[in-house]
Amino acid sequence: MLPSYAGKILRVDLSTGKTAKELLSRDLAEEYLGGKGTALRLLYNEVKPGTDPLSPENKLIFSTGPATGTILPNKGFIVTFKSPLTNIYGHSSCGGGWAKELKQAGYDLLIVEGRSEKPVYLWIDDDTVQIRDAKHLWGKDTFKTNDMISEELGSEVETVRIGPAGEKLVRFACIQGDYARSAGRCGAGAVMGSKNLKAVAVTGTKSIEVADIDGLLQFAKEIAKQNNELILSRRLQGTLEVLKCTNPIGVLPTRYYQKGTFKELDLHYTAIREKLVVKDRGCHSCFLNCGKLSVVNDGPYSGTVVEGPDYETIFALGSLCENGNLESIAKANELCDGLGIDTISAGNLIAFAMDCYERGIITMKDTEGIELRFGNHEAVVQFVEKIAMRNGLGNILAEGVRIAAQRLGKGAEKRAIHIKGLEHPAFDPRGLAGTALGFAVGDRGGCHMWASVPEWRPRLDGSVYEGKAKIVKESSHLMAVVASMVFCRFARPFYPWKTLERISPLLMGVKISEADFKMIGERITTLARAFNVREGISKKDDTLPERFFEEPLPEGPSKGMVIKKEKFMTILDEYYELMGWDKNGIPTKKRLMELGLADVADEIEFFRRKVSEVSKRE
Amino acid sequence: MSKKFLIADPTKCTGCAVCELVCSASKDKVFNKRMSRIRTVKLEPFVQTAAACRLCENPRCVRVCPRRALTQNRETGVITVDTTKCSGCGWLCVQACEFGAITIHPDKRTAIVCDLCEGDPPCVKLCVTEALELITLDTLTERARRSIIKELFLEKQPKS
Repeated sequence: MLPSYAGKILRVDLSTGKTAKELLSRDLAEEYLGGKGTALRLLYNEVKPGTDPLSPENKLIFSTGPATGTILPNKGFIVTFKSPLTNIYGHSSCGGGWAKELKQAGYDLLIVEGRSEKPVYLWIDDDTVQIRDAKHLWGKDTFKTNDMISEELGSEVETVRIGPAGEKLVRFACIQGDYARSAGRCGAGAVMGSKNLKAVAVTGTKSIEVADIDGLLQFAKEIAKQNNELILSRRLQGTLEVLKCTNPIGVLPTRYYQKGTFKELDLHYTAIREKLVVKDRGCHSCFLNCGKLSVVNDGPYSGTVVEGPDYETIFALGSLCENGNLESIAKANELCDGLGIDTISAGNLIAFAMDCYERGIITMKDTEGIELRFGNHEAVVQFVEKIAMRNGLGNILAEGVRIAAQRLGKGAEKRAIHIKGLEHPAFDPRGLAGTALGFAVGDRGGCHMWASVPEWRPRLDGSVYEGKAKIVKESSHLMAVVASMVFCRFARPFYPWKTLERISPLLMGVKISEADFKMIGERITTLARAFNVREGISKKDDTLPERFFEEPLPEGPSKGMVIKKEKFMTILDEYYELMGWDKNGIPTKKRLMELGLADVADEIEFFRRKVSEVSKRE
Repeated sequence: MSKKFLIADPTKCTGCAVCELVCSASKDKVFNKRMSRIRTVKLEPFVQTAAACRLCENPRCVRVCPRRALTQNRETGVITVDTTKCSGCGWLCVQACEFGAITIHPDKRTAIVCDLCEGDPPCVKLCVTEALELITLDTLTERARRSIIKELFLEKQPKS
């Protein structure tokens, strides 16, 4: 096997209790790198179309990459599965030290399949793998679960675990790692809960070897030096750095996407630092240290201790709910982490419910006496708990906004903001044409990670459509490679194409050229599309909520902006063409063959015919 | 008193463990915290720091070694392990060190301890938060005196 890989896959079948160690093939590593790529290929091979995401047939694949456990700032692991929130390809990433322990135990990937009859947790201690009883951990929050396992197995173990929300199959339940890092999006925690798996604890003692360690150390010193300014500013501001890019140009979603700026809260990072932050934190091997440990010392939320709130959380539980109470955002964030739900989706659901309440779709009877108006910070905190524990109205909201809106009826569906079932992140696509395209075609639904936010760096005019398809294509391929090497996506300024070319011989001992990396990025992006095509996705799904085409932003610098349907459709078609996908958004046989996906090409032909028959009939 | 030793400032340390990675990479050409001479310590959620040899005066680890494998350099205070003598019993030296700064190398099975990399440790250079420092006792105490005086006489002065 190539250097920097452990060389093995650990497979655990919770139905039979059997574990198996398989070799990771060199071909798989060379074609897909690791992380997102290798796990996606295995998911495509092993999870058949139409699989119920919460059934034993779904799989939960934890994957590390060549960068994991080395000195290069990396993200730890990617978890891959079919999403119970979107019914398509789901994946999420999480920082922290768990992933390097898995690799040091000797495994690049961990595949969990089947379903245990009773609650269990997994203990991987180098070559010894045990499935242990988790009765005493069931129902405990993620902090307590981590503490109890550390007490049982020693402080050297690292864990990933779910909270009560994952056990209760909340469709956007997350998996928590480190102290309070999350694999948040797409409902990985619900899949883990459906398997009756509470946690995975790992200790590994093996060394991680790379091809040229002196070269890699030298390289690490160089990026630390060259990016000194970036390192300082990211440590100071954390992810809140993004606020100064979105709020001033009016694309910070506010009042459930009815506004694009939020004035009620001093969102400048210095204000938040002064009020809450007590310490900077970093994931394993991080140079940026964007993590912020925050404490609330007085008022009704006194005693709150949270790693955060991050930018996306400030948006979801703050501006989107028009909640200007910073301490309540910290409290709601702490609850989300402890109970185990994604802050982005949770905030979206609460803001959606507030919107429905103000329009009379939901009444005070539904909310059990809670005045669910925008700006009510107590309601935000109360509803995090209701959703995570599936209490009252929370039980409907726990299904995600797509299903919740269907259940509520009375026009709620027209208000719901999601793409392919995934609730939106903190960038209003009405003021950002490239971002809008990225959201519409992204492999896991409305997602700011897939193609990043193309208008951000370098700063581009959000009202321009021309040329954005090409930028989205390039950007999504780079992000796919970054997620497959398992670099941190917040540290991606460290890793432009040219740098990746330099890193590969140091890390893996093979020269991967810029062109090769781009090909790998495209292969991964296209394979993800193929997975989704098998699940019934085509052009009809590559769109945005109708509200973004109809309701203009009412104020701020992006005032009056909507997504222009015609122009949007033009760049969508242009994107398909650049990707070698047909007019229905299905990858062509020719392009699949060029990407070395012959087996996929054969399978996709069946779905292509199906989609074109439907579109002809219409 | 020019003896220098490693300290980590827990208010700056984020627990990123880059120091462990640099140490094992420099000394053993692999990444493995168990081979690192400096180790991070985390008491979540408030405390993250790192610990290495304190270069004690008349150190117990040196005194208790039954094979006299450990010696201390009088000038620098650095403790060296004679690997031909060390049996890796790990019993007395590991037990004797209150700081947990001596460990047994998992492959070589002999004691390892920070040797300050000839006074120019790469872990300090790559500590991006500047939590790690190579410092003398004089500087450390001088800094403490200055900071308390500054607090008492400058920052707490009533504003005119």
